[in-house]
Amino acid sequence: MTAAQNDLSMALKTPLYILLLLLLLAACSTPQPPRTLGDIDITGNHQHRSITSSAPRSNEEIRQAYARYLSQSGKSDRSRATAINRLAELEFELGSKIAHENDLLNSSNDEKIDIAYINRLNKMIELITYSLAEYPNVQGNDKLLYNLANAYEQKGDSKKSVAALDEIVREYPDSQYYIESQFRVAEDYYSSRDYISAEDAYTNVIFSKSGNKFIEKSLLKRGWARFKLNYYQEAADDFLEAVTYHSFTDPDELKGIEKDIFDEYFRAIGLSFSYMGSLNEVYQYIDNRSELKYIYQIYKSISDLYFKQNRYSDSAETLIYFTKKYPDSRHIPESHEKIIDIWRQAGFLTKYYASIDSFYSAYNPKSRYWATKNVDLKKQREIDHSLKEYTLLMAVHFHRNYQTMKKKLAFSNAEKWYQRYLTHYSQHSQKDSIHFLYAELLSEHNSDEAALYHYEIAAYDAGIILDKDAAYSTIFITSRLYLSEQQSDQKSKWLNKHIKYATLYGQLYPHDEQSPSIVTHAAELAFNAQMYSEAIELTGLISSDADSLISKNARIIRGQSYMALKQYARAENIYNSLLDSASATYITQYQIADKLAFSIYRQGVAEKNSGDILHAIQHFRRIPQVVPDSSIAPAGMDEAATLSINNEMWEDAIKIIKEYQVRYPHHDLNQDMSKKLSLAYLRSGQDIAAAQEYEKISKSGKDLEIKIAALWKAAELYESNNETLLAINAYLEFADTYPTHYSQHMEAMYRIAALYDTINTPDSANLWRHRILSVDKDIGKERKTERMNFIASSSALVLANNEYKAYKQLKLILPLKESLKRKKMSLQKAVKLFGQASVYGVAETTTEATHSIAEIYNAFSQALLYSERPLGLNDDELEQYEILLEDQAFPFEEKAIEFFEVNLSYIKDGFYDSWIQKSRHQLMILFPAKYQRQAKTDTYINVLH
Amino acid sequence: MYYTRIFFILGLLSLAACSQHKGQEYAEDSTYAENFTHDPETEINLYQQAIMHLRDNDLDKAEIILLAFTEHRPDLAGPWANLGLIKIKTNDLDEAKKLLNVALEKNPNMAQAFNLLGFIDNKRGNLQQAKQHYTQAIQHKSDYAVAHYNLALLYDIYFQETKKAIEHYQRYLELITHSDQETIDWLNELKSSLQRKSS
Repeated sequence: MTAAQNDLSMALKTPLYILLLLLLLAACSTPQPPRTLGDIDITGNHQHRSITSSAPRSNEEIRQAYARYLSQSGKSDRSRATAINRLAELEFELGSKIAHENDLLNSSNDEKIDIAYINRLNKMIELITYSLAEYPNVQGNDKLLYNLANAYEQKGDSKKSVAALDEIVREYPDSQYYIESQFRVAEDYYSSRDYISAEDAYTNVIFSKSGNKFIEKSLLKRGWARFKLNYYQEAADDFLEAVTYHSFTDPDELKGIEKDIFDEYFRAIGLSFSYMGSLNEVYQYIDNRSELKYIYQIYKSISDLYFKQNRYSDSAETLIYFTKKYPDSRHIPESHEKIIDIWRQAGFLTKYYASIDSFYSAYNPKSRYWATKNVDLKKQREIDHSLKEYTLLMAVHFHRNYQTMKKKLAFSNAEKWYQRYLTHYSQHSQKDSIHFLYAELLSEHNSDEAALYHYEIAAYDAGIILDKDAAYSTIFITSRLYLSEQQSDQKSKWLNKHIKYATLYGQLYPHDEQSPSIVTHAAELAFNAQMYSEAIELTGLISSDADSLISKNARIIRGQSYMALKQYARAENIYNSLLDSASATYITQYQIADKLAFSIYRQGVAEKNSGDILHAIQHFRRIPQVVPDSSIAPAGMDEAATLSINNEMWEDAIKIIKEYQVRYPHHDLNQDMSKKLSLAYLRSGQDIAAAQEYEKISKSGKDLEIKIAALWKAAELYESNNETLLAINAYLEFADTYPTHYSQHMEAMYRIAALYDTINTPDSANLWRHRILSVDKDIGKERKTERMNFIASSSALVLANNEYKAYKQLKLILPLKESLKRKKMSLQKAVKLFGQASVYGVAETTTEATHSIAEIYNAFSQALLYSERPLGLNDDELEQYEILLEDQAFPFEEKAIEFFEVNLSYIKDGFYDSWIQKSRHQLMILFPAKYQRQAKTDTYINVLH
Repeated sequence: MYYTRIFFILGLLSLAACSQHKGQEYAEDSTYAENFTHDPETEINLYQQAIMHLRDNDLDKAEIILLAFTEHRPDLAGPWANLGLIKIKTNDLDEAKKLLNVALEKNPNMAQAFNLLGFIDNKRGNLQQAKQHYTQAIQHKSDYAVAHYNLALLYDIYFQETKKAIEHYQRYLELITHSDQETIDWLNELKSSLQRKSS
């Protein structure tokens, strides 16, 4: 016996002796020792469980019982080996329990517990080794070897563990532990880089009982072993076999772990192929394996791997080969997109754009692909979506190219792609701003007429501005076309368009910094073309905050237009306001004064010709009061005096002539005027005129100021005493008689409208509100008071709200085209009126008007979305129809947000009223990501002082 | 020396408070309030108790203690400000404003009180006032993250002054110790929109 054997013998004997001693003592206190192994093990192995009703025992008790049994049984006892085996298992279990409790408690007593655990393992190893030596041929030794391998593994002695497993493989080929042992032996070879042995061992596992759980893993590991041995084709065989064995479901549907496994397998496959040799060899290999599933995934995995290795051309070529080899695969579009993406990521731009061009040729909606392939709807949408994005991308690419290089080819390519987009995706063109971009291209190419066509589509929807920039461009282009056009009918067409678009722009964006210039330019063109009404309408759009020089130019055009239309009183208002303003630069002060005097003179002549002598005299007399230095003034006074005398108005004549003599003592007409004065004194013969009642004074009085005051007082008295009709008549007379007393004139009209409302005649009231707005446009801002602005603004607001009510009542019902047209027209009217209400800078009305404009747009967007649906649509058609509706509604919702935000911008100027609050509330609904956020507070304030 | 000591103890207690669990047993608040003493350490403990209740949103208990403070130590700004905070939480904004003004009488530099006054003005639509209060809060405490956030929000939503909003959102994100992904996302969005406008 060797020393080692002695040690082992001692190691075995010492604990056994102690155990025996303890068991003998225990036996003394135990009246009836167990008779069979089944009696011992009540809680343990169920195969040994007794059918008696004994209470379950603890493992420790059972362990002691087995130990007692061993001490009492003879060497020939057939159960002795079983008892040793069971005792070894119990030691292992107790050891594991200790280790487990140690982990749970994270005990500070680690070292002691580790020692106890190792002791248990050692005991187990001693018992099994003893049993194997004592009973080498007993049935069940394969299990003992298996447990021994596990115990060694637990101890960290992998060499002995593998030796035990190897013995199972060699001695017990029919054991239930054979396959696992073989696999673990293979793993050991693999980890120790003995790939040849590992390959053999894995092969044994693979060719042992079919259906064992180690086959798939062995195929994979054998593949890797072969890969390490540079047998790439065989490795690929194994990996593909593993994939087949696993039997994945549809790769597109895989998720979680299954997807991870799938990806791992195909990464391995790709790697094998990448080492296999040239691409042709790879293709040949795959093509020879016609039974293979997942062909696309194989090519894709190879392509992915090449890409990671920066072999971009190989990566793309692999997929190109696939598309050519398997033209009927359902993955063809996907692989085309992948090829495009490879070129893009690799930065091979020429190939990138060429591949997109090919993609377009293959899959555009009119291509043969759709006629020959039965593609499901989801896939069709995916391709369609990609194609739309690529088309836009190509158009923008060539457009930029053209902007940089100005090459003809770039232009024609950009044009081609924009047209392709419009051919196939016109329903999305508004959202993607295609018409605008295309128009920009055409404009840059000086194709103005074609550019205008697309700018118009981008800018307007039935006369409503949808896109501000595009609208601006239509104005710019029509001006250019008009100025360069020679043919008169075409010229007229461009001018009409120019005027129309400038008017729309000025109405919707009165405060835009471009608006005054746009509107004035259009007005000038209109005036030069003798379109005076249009010129007047345009100049009325200029807001009060416009640049003074532009505003002045516009007002001169307006005044000249009124003169051309023989509306002299209005022309006078204009020239008056121009004289009041700072010194003119466009036209001299003197010239304006003469124009003003001439406009008044022409009013006098007009009144005289119509037989209204009193008003004619008033006008002629006003000339020296308004423009004393004008050369026309003396002639005007002469006309007034002559008229007074001819109509026996002696007091008037006397006053006029006296005034004349003071004003123009050295004028050529002085002598003639003296004669007239003598005649007037002789013929007058009247006593003091008397009039007691205000109204009579106002009608018969001579002094204008007294007449005005008298008439106003009379009207106010009627109003305060609820004599509504009399009050209306007095104010009406005032409004007709004194249009140049601006402030009171406006007030009179305002009261007339209000009084008509009190007697339920809204049509009359609104007529006067329209007149207020019309007169307001003729008055220069220098003459306007806050009150006048309020009157004009609130009048516009009332009219706008009336239109708004009408607008709200219009429903979008079938036939939609007609109801939509009606509703849009109403929208345009209401927005125009609200816009007018907001230009006066009156806070109360501006915020309400701005909010209302936003509400109108929002309501229109909603009306579109909830409009009546056409009958007879199937589900797909209905879905497409609703997508189209959303695209149409989107710009109106954006417009609503824009105007709600404009209202919020007034806060900066110190305004905050209920309309701004309402706008904010709407923004919280329309734009919650921004407007629903709240201010924060501290949870507590951890400061004492 | 007395105040230095108070601040020191308060700091220690703040650290301790952070590590306490919500369910921890506290002494009865009414007992503290009734037996209010002027011993600095007892005061600090009692005040810290109120802070714990506030943190746990146990507003009634916090209010009992803080009211005892305002009775026995009316010169201290903190209790008044926290009472103001409680009133904001219970939506009694009139009372909250009064209490916060008292806090500012005791300590005119109290950034937290300015922030809460700004919060009240903000809620009521007095936006210029709110802006002034948030600005004052930042002037007195430049690293006050919440005030930066509130001022940014005001510039962003009401005054439409994107550049200033970006400046204060950024400052807020620099100062906070936790992650606020929502604000990070929104800030990126704002920067992009500003870039789009300027290009």
